[in-house]
Amino acid sequence: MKDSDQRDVFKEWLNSHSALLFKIVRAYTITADDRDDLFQEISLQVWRSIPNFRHEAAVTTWLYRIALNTALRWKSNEKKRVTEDLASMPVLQAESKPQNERIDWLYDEISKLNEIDRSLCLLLLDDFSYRDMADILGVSESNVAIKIHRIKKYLIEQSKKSQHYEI
Amino acid sequence: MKFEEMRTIWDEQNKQHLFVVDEKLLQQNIEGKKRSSSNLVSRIEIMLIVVNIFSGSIVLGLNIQHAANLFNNAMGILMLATAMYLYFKRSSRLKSENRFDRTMLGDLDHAIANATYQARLSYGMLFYVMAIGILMFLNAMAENKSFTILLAITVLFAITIYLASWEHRGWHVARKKRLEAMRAKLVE
Repeated sequence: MKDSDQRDVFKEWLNSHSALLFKIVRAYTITADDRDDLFQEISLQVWRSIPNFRHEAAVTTWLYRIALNTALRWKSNEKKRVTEDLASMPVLQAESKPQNERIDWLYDEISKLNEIDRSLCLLLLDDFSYRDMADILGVSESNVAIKIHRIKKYLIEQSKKSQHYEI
Repeated sequence: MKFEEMRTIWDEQNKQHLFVVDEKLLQQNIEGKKRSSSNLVSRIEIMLIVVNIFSGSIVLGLNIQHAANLFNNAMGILMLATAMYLYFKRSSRLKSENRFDRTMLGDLDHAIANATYQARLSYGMLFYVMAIGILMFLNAMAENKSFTILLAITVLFAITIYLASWEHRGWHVARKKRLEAMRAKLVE
C-alpha cells in the first residue's frame, strides 16, 4: 500500500470515527497528558493496522479492537510512562462545551471497572452484539454474557445509589 | 436507572465532539514514533549481539597476541557464546511472532510472551554481568593488580548488578504480572 493511500484512509477514519476513539481514550485515562499520550498511541496503531484491514469486519469493529488492545497495553506500561517526557505539544484540545453531568457520571462509573470490564462496557454501550464482543475479545459468548450481566447489575446499582437516578 | 437509559445518555456524546485533533501535529508525531519506537526489544537484542561479538573478538584477539591468562580467555569465549545464544533466542522469538490471533486475548498472549521474553533476557543478563564481573576480578587478581583496582571492580559490578536486578523486578517482571492479571480477568 502506498504511503499516500494509507494517509488518506487514516484521515478518513479519523474524521468519521474520532468519537469512538475519544470514548476509549476518556474511559482509560484521567489526566490530559495521559489522554494525549493514549490517543497518539492508538492513532499510531491504527495507522499501522491499515495495510492489514481486509474489509472482513466493519471499520468500527476493527477500530474498536485496535484501540482497546492498545489501551490495555498502554495501561500495563503505566509505571514506565511516569518518567517519560510529556512536555511536547498536545494533539488533543478539549472543546469548551457545557459539561454533561450524566455522561460524566457514566464515565466515572466506567473508570471504576477493571480494564477488561471497561472494554466490554464500552462495546455494550455502543450496541455491539455478544457475538461481536466475543470476536473482539477472543473469549466465548457465554463468558461475555456472564461479564455483561455483572456489569449491567453494577451500573444499575450505582445509578440507584447516586442522585443521577432522578435525572 | 435502566440500562437502556444509560445507552441513551451514552449516545448523546456522538452528536458532540469532545476534542479537536491537531491533525498536522498528529501526523508528525506518528512519523516520529514509527521511527523511534518500532521495536525496542529487537534493538536491544541487536545491540547486545553486536557489542558481545565486538568485545569478545577484541578480548580473544588481544589474548592471542599477548598470551593472556585463562580468565581473560574465558571472558572472551563467554561474550561470543552469549552473542550466539542471543542470536538463536531472537530467531525463535521472531518465528513465533505470528502465532497469536487478532483478538484481545491473542494480543494479551502476545504481550505476555514478549514480556516473558524480556524478563528472561534481563534475568539472563544479570548472570552474564555477574560472570563477567567474577572473571574480571579473577583476572585482576591473577595479574596482581592493586587492592584499589580490585575494590573498584567489585563496587562497579555490585552497583551494575543491583541496578539490573532492580530493573528486572521493578519493570520486566512487574509488567508481566500486570499483563497476566489482565488476562486472568478476561478469561475468568
